Amino acid sequence: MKKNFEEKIRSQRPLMDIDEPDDSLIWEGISRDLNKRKTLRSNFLWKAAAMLIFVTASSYFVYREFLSPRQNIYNITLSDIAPDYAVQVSQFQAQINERWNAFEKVKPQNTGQLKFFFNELDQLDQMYRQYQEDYQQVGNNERLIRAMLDNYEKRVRILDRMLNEIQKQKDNEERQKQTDI
Amino acid sequence: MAKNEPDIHQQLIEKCREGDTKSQYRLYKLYSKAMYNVAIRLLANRMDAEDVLQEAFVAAYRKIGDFRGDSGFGFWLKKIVINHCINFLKSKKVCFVDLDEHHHQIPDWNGEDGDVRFEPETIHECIKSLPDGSRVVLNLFLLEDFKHREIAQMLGISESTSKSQYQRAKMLLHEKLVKYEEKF
Repeated sequence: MKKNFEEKIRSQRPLMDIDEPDDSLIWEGISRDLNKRKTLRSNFLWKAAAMLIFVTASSYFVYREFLSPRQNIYNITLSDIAPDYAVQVSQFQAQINERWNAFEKVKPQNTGQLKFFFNELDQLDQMYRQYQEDYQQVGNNERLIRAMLDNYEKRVRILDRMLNEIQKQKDNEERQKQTDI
Repeated sequence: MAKNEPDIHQQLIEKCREGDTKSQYRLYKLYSKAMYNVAIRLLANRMDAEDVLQEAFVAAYRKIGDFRGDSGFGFWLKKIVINHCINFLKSKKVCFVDLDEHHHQIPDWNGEDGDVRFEPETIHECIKSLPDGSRVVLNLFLLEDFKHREIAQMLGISESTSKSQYQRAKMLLHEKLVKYEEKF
């Protein structure tokens, strides 16, 4: 018996979960939100600890912004390893630079809430360095190239998320101001 | 094995109620892919879907004490994810009523389309490319089994708008799928 269009679609429904979530990123966010709540419930000592984290994060941010060579790591490009990917790499680099420029324009005074993103970026830096070391040892390798491209893409996404978070904070502050008026 | 599954779920849920992080993570891993795909089909944007999924899971863990087990946990969780998706779209001022005169005049297509078979990947991608309003209605009605009355209530539109949007979405999706099949 012929199935009509709706039946065809419905019958494929169980097989339609195709996209893969970025579990590590999402879980990190969930975990952060759940812990934030615990922190709010806790006592004065926790508040003091939060202050300490804020100071550490601020120092860390200053270090990253002015002393760390983080942005330069991407100057040692994948293009050197795999010239076929030069166009893709330069597009990623342009996107990364664009996001950092945007960040410079909207950078909040208090960057404590952005610590999570800086940690993520740091981890990507470490992974990228590891890939470069691997390249020295194993030479050109398709999986390694894919991993490096993926590293670029994740960096762009994290920067997007960070910018989005800053915008959300600004919107909230704006709404708060409107309410106060 | 299958017999033990509900017990394992129940144990995880109980542990989550106590705030056990490992169990929360295990429960997340059990449902993340399915829920993410529900979200991405509704929102058609990877980053938005990830944000909403994060918020939905946090909300679910916070009110997991309210889960009584009348329906399955997956069903309960999916309702939370869908509600968060809809709230997100509303906050983005997505218009669910963008039908013009022409669209209202769409004839009620009976859905007959011969023996053509569509691949699940293609359907998934084509659904994501539908316009906002009709995409949401199609997802809720066709894939998530909500009634037009319920959809109307959830989206703040009339029942007839929900039906028209669905009719439009169904035709658009069919067109896209046929074009895709012809292309490849």
